[in-house]
Amino acid sequence: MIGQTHWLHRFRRRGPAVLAAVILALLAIIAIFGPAVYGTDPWSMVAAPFLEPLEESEYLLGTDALGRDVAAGLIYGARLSLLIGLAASCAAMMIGVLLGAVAGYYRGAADDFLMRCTETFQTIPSFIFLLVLVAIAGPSTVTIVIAIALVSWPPIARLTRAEFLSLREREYVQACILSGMGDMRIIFLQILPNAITPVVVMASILVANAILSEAALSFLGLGDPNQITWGTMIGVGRESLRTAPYLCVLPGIAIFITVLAINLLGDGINDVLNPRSSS
Amino acid sequence: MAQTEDMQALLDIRNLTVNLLRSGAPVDVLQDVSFSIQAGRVVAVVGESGCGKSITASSIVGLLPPSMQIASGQISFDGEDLVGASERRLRQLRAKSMAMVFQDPMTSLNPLMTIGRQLQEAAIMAFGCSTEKADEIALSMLQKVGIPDAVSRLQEYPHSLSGGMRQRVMIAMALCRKPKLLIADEPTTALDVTIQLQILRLLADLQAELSLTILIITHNLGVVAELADDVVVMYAGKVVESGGVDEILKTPKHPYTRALLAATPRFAIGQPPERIAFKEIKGTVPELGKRGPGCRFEARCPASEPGCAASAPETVRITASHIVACRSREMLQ
Repeated sequence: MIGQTHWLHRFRRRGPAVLAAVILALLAIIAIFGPAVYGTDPWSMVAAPFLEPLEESEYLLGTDALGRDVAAGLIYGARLSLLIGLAASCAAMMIGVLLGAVAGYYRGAADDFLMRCTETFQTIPSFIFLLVLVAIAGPSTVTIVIAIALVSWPPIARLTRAEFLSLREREYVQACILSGMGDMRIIFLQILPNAITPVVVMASILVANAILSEAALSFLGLGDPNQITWGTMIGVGRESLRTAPYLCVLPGIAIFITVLAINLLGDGINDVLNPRSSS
Repeated sequence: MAQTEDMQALLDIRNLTVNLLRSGAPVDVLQDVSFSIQAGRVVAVVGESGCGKSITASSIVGLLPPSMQIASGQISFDGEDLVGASERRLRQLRAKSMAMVFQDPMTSLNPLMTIGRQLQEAAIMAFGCSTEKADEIALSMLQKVGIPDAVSRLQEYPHSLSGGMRQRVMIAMALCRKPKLLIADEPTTALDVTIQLQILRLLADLQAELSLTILIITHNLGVVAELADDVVVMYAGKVVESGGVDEILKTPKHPYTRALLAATPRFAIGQPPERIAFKEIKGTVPELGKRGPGCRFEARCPASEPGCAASAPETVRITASHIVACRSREMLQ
């Protein structure tokens, strides 16, 4: 049926992607409105330490070693984890798309130089590089976002370059060059809209990676000390892993669900935007 | 060579040599290509695949791939040399006076922009006019190329148009800029046969109406007969014969031109298909870098002589316009 090819229909046929979108929407609502609605400060010691989940109705998810509310931590953590994930991948996408577009469009010396830079970045193990950057700049939300962006742009740059290399040979681009259109206009208005689909899909996976990186940093104690994130909670809970495993497990599950949902959504977006991959 | 012609040519290509840069010595893709186009005429460049037709067009508009480079020769357009011109000047010249229609109408329009937007952009780029004025030009050009219901077509995206319609849009886009020279690179190759004829007729009508100067690149001699005033026959990067359309089609002198004409199938109603007479040209175009010093058609030539492989043939002028590069006297009779 012709109507079936409408993008909404195609999206609806993919259950996991829709489920992922619903989960992410819920997470976004929690991240935006949760702290205001829930009220309890995640840093304040509100009850007896090591209350198990469901033990007391007021603190459904229990309390940690200092008697802080785990549920409040998860809610405030959602805000920061998602924020860092989105901001870092947006920044990575901007760097990657810009460098990839210039390299792919101009080719020649510009391409060689930019691709050697990209490869240099890719040869450094990314998590070690991330640790070094945060250790040098000092842990704060902004530096963590910048550091994650700095280690994750190379694949985006390479992908964008590959798209540009192929698209710049298309005849409509040649026609634009011939008509005297400026390079910037051709790059951003003619080629980029045609090249952006796979980049967006890759960026959605980057969000998941950024959340994981941030969690790993916080776990190692290199997170922003003024902010609570899921990684921080796991790092703190580690000390009482044997007596109160839920302190690590609950934020772990939150990270797992978020990352899984983002990946599934990325696959879904890919299927919707790329008609060739849908059967 | 063309000194006998007093009128100055719009486009004059002299001894153009283009090299392909690759590891080792550069190889020539075009060698000593010379021809000129008078304003208001239609010149067809013919030859089989890989003979350098499209490279010639790319050299004129300055869109050679980075692996290729003009090694020597001149391309003068409207009295101005394009080979030595700065990138900036070239850009201006191209924007103001040249337009190109490409082979594949599927990839020659931006899939994410409406037809109207693309036409409008072309007009703005050419004249720097307001968007309203550009829309006006866009609409009138779309009507001129025979697109029915042009007003609503402006809102459509390329994917909803057929190949023939898209090629019409491409022509409209080229005309939007009122070019002095229109280059059509195999404009009908990717189309159905019935549509091919429509597009050719359209080009012929527009040419007559607007007295366009057209350089058409093709391997289809039917296109040549239909449209061209002058013909340039190319083989393996060289011009082997050039002249008026009647001279080339009726009294071809070069063995390659003759072979090309003999290879065109002639259909007749009532004739069984297996009886259709056409002769293939045996062999293939010599590979780049494996081209000897002599005539490049020598290996496939029915009239080759002992000296043909050793040195390149001189160009012989048969009439004021008809030039052929072949040493066989017998052929030239």
